[in-house]
Amino acid sequence: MGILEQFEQWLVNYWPSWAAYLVPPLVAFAILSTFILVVVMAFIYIERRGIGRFQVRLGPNRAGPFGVLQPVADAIKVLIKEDIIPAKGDRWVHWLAPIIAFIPALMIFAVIPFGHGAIFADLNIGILYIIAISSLGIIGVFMAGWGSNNKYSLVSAMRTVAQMISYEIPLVLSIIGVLIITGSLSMVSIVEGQHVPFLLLQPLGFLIFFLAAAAEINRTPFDLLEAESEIVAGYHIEYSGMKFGLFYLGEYTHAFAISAIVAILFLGGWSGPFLPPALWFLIKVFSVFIVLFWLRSTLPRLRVDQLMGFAWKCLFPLALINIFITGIEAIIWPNFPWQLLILNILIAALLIVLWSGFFRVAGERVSFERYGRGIAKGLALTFRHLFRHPITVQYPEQRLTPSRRFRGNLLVWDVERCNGCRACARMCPISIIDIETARGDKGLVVERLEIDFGRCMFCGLCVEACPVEALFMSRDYEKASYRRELLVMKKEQFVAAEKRPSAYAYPELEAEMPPQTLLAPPKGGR
Amino acid sequence: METGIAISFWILAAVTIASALAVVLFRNIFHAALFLVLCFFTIAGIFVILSADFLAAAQVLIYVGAIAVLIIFAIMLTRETQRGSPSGRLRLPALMVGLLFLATMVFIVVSTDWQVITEIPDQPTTSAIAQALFSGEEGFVLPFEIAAALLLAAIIGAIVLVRER
Repeated sequence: MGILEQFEQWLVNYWPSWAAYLVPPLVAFAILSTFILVVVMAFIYIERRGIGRFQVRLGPNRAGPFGVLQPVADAIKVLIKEDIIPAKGDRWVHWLAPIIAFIPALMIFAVIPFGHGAIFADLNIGILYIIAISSLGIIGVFMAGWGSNNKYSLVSAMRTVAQMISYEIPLVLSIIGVLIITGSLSMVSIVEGQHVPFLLLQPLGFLIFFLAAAAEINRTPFDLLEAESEIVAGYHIEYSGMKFGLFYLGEYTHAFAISAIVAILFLGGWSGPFLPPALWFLIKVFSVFIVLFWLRSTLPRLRVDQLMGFAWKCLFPLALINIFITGIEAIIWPNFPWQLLILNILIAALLIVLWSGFFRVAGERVSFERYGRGIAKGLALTFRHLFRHPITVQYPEQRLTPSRRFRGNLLVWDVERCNGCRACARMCPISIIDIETARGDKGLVVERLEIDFGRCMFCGLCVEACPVEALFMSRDYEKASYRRELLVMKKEQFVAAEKRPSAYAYPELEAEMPPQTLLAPPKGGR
Repeated sequence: METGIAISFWILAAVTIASALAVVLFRNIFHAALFLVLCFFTIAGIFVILSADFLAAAQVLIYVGAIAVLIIFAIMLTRETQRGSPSGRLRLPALMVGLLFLATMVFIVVSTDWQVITEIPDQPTTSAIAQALFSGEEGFVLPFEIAAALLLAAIIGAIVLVRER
């Protein structure tokens, strides 16, 4: 018996029956939506940080420790932004679109079991319900594209429809293999029927489902509907504020839902040794999601015709073949012994290699050597990046160590060495060095020195010209000011400025300095 | 339970009829298509009330997910359809056909002897539907296969029609 029914039976003792009937679903809905929002926030954080690491960047790291508050900051920003409706847009359609895009993603969770009995409604038609509901989200995208009265939005909406209709077919067909083995559409019985994870018994079905699902939730190799470089941001160009937030939230809720469905259908749901079931389930969901954005950070976006061709010419026939093979196996071995996984993995590998041979990309036949190994190499590269030190640094706190030969942005002036010969001012090609000298006890004394760094082009000729090496470039690499006159450095500033050692004037110091260090950790480490 | 189902039935029925009327009466054809989606969806809700969960899911999947989306797609691809009906030449024949269809439907509804079943409906319905469709003797295997062949022919025909020569 599920947790909900137990709660209802306990409530009957204290409250009238209609209240006891109504309250448990409402409570469950509140808990479930809060939980989903928390997981979605975790997803957004993990994805942004994770993609950063996959690409040897840091990712968002300012809000809170390690940037964990970034999703909260984003949410607040989105909530207080102005909501703009295009003047010639379809007001009501524009207003309804984000809601219609978001709600189906939320509704999927009604049939997702998080553990034994921890399910909102164990429908007999669980997986069919999910497929039906998730096809509703397209209409929201559609309405957004139409209601915005924007060509890019409309193009994006058209692409979405074409893509969704195409990928829904392999998505549905790939599940049928699983259904043949379990003989049930209910999510709970699918989990309970998995003695061996169906990932192993249905490798081909898993791959097709995974790719089609990635296309369905528009993750990057298939994210044509918001391809920034082609159609700006797709259907949500004209959205701002919380309406955009709903689209964003819906996208990640859908990603969570798809990860959960993959975990249930192919990875054994909540079942697993030692750990509590709900924890196992979450571990599986998060691993699926991590693989999704690992692919996103590795693979480039497909072209429209390639995308359609991939769905219709590759995934669709393979899904049909998968159903056929599973049907034959169901007749020969009705119990699906675990030994079958060897055969199935072999068949899947063989079919993928053979089938890909039918296609040509840029006049060249798709071969396993080139594309299979290419994709594997790319994935391995991004995976290795996880363990590499990010190229970017936490800027004001950490500085890059410039190379030995780096000439910085500011000049350092050594008062003791300078003999006031004014060679620097004469050499300067744009005459920005203004120097006045007077005769003192031991020779010339500099009375006034002004250098306009707003105009300096850092040619270094003044440094070259100085006969006594009293002038050299510092190692600073930042210089900015809001007013130009602040960029003119005066004699007092030069005297007061910190005398950083320069490799140019002190070769013995240069030897101690680290070489070019853009890729290595700066001194002191992280 | 009983009153809950009755309440939800009346709500669904009212929304269905209202949205169906909106489909016909709205000038903006895109809005009409959206109301068609709502109409299909509430009909799925009525299936749920009748304990026909499989049919409800199939209704949403096929009518909302596929047919309505195709209709909207067609509207997007067609120019100058936002404002009402494009031509008035076929208005009279359309009215005749509509009236004829309405008369037939009213006649069927009135003349049918509606029975109220007393037994508890099958739960799950999936295997019962499969039995009815695919079992050899009293099932509908032959019509099912014919429909499949017909659809295949239609698909191939469509491809032949739009193929570039």
